[in-house]
Amino acid sequence: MSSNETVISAQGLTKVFKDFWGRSKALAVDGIDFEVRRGEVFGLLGPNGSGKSTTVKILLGLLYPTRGRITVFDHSPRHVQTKARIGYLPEESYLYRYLNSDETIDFFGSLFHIDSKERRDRADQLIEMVGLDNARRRHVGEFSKGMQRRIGLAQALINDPDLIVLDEPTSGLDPIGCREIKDLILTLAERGKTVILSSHLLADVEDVCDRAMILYGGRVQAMGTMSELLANRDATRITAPTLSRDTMERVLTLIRADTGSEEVRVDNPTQNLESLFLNIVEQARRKESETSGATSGHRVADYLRGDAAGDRADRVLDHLTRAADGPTAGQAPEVATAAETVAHDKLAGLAKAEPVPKAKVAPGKGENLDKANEKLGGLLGD
Amino acid sequence: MWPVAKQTLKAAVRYRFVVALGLALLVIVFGVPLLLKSDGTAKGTVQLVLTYTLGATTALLGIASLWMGCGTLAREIEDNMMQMVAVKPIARWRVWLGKWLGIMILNAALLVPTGLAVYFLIEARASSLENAEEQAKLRNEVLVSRSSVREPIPEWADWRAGTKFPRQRAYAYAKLVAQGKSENQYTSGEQSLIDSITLPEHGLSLRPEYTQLIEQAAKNPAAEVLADIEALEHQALQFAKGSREIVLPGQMINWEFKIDPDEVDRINEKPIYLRFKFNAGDEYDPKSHLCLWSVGRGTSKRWPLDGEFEEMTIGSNVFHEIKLERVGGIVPDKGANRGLIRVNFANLNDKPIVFPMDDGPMILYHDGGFGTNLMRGLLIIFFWLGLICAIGLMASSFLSFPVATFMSFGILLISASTGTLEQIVEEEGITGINHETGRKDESSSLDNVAILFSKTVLSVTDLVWGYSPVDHLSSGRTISWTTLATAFTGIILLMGGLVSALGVYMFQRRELALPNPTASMN
Repeated sequence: MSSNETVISAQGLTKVFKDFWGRSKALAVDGIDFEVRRGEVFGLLGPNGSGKSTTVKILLGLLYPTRGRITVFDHSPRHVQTKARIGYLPEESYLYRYLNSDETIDFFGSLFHIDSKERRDRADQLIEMVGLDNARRRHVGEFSKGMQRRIGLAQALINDPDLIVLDEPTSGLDPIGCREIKDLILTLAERGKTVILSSHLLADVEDVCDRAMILYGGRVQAMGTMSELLANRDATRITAPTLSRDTMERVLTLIRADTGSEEVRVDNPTQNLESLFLNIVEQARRKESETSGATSGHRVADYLRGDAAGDRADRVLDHLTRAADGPTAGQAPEVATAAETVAHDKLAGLAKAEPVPKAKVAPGKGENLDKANEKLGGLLGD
Repeated sequence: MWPVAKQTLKAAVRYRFVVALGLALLVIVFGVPLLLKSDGTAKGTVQLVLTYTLGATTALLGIASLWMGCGTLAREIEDNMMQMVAVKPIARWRVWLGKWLGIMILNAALLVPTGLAVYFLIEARASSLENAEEQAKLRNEVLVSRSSVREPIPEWADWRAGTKFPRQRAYAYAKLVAQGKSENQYTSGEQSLIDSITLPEHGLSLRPEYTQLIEQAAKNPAAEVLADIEALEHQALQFAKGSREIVLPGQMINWEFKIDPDEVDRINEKPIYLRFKFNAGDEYDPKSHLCLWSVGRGTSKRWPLDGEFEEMTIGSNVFHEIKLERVGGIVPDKGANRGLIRVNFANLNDKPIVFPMDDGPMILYHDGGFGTNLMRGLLIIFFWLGLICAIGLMASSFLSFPVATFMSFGILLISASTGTLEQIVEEEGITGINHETGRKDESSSLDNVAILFSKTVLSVTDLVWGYSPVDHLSSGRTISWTTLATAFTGIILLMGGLVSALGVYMFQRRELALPNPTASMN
């Protein structure tokens, strides 16, 4: 759902950390250029010390660029009014330890000049959404890391931001929490929100991002849509319902004849560990409903869902399969290679010979569609 | 800015800082009076209680304000909590002022009950006194607000030989005196010159060498000639000062205090006091001396009633108050002398008696109640706390917590320890004076720089610390609304504003997400 409206624009962005005497100490970001458009989920990838956090902090106005230019909603990151459109979840819990959940949300909400009734209303929804309903009177200092991430996320969304900056959002969360965060990101993106996701967990970025920028040594090493970055142009994967031995042999013979290669493999697809885990937990939950601490599986706050809540259950699946459907808006379409053209022709031939259900090319995702739909429906309360 | 203030308050409460401060104040208010040993009189006891409780409260809240000012900002920056606030749509100056406001609300919340507790405790003590005389003394001399009137300090009090000395006028006057004209021979210009002349200039007119030296210097401004001129001016100033302050054995001195004629009738309804302090060259070993006082000579309002001198043997180097008791009041209320109180002192000791100009005698008269005066005194203390808090916040705007605390305490200590600076101004430099002549032999440019620096610092510190609310309250002297307004302007608006502007500027420039607290600003 990205548009051409530029939310973040950086040109030649450079940050040099200096010591007390003004001597250069470290070149954290080295002349990077990038743009993020409205509605995009943009990933910042890179190992520790690659400049991800520095870039995030520059775009939040917490660090000032040494050289280059960066604008957020066409303003300097230090422009006070612009900050009303931004939500930020830092990589660590930087919250006031002596405030409880309610007070934390209320305090940060008051900084946005949201009236007290609306603040209370939103706080109720957010605390329920992040599963801290049972811990709303406990001080943040008593929270586990995962609970702190949850309350941190809640405060980042109190203003229904247009731009959400999430620094390692799934750090410290259990797999259910991770999935909820990812679902939330997609919900927000559907509503036209822009999300910056800084992470070194590649799966997180892969699951939800439209585009990503890979940093190393403060420089951009690669940038593009997920399909551009992940596509393996030298191989083709076909996924189909279970085939009979005869059909399999005919397909393999046809492929071997066409490609002239013996490197054709056949196996049963596996679901990824996250899906397996979620399924198990879901089954367990049906048997035992009570748990202590943070809970999961709550609906996204109404004011954050907007109109995008209707077909929420299909959203993750759509997204997970989007990589196979082509580039997102704003990205230049790729020209198919000769090998891919041949593969498409073969598939067309196969389809004529024996009709099969529509295949989704998404390695490791979407295998158990009914389960996933059910799960997401539960998460979103639809 | 209110949410930040509220959150700052909440932090102080949740971290039990308020509880600790509250307990400490309780000990000060209720515990300190039990430990004090006074002269046994109710007045002395209450004065001690006021001095120590209010002094300790000021010190405690001052330290707490500095600590909180440094901690609330520096800690939040170091622990990255400030990042969460800085990314919200609130200007940094609002965050800064919000922090200040939060601490000041806390200060007010602690100072007001402390003030009330002190007030009611003292009132209860006064009411429970069985001795009516003691009670009256307490109510008239301590639990009261008394305005003071002093002789105006002469304009030459801060003159220095060679600098700020009206040499041309002194020369013109000396020449005029040398002409030996009679009174009716002066032109109008000459008469106006005579009318404007001060005591030191008059003293110089009696030294014919002064005019000669000036004429000599006009032709040949040699250093020795100029030094001689300055020496004469210095002597004249010393003489004038001495004549104002020193009463030689067997001599008498006279002061005149002018009271607003419109206030005379009201003032005469209540007791009036003469307050003074003297020494007899015995600062380090105070002794008692015979003092003879007389008030209202030449008027119908004489004191003592028999018209002679009131004799008393009293100690030096402490303040004394004499109640000028007379039916119908002591302030002359008729004719040209209405509102003019003349006070005479005779020295029958064998040593000179000195009345330092700064602590010179004053007349105290009833002007209001103790409660209002206490409130004004507490407000001045509150202004101080505001400035101290701003200093802490300013330092923590660009320094880490321990360094900011160290720096803030340093600033406070230096600004409160101005003795050395006063000495530099007094001795006209840092190279020392010739103790034989009482003056510097030669002034260097270093001296001039030191004097300029000292004067600047002193004028700034005087702007802040030039008030003594505790002293005024314990001696029942009025802290006027004018004083309060001046204190507010000087402490909060000028100094507080300057410190705040600097703090906000530094905070605005500070990069809140620097990976290393010792890293510099961009």
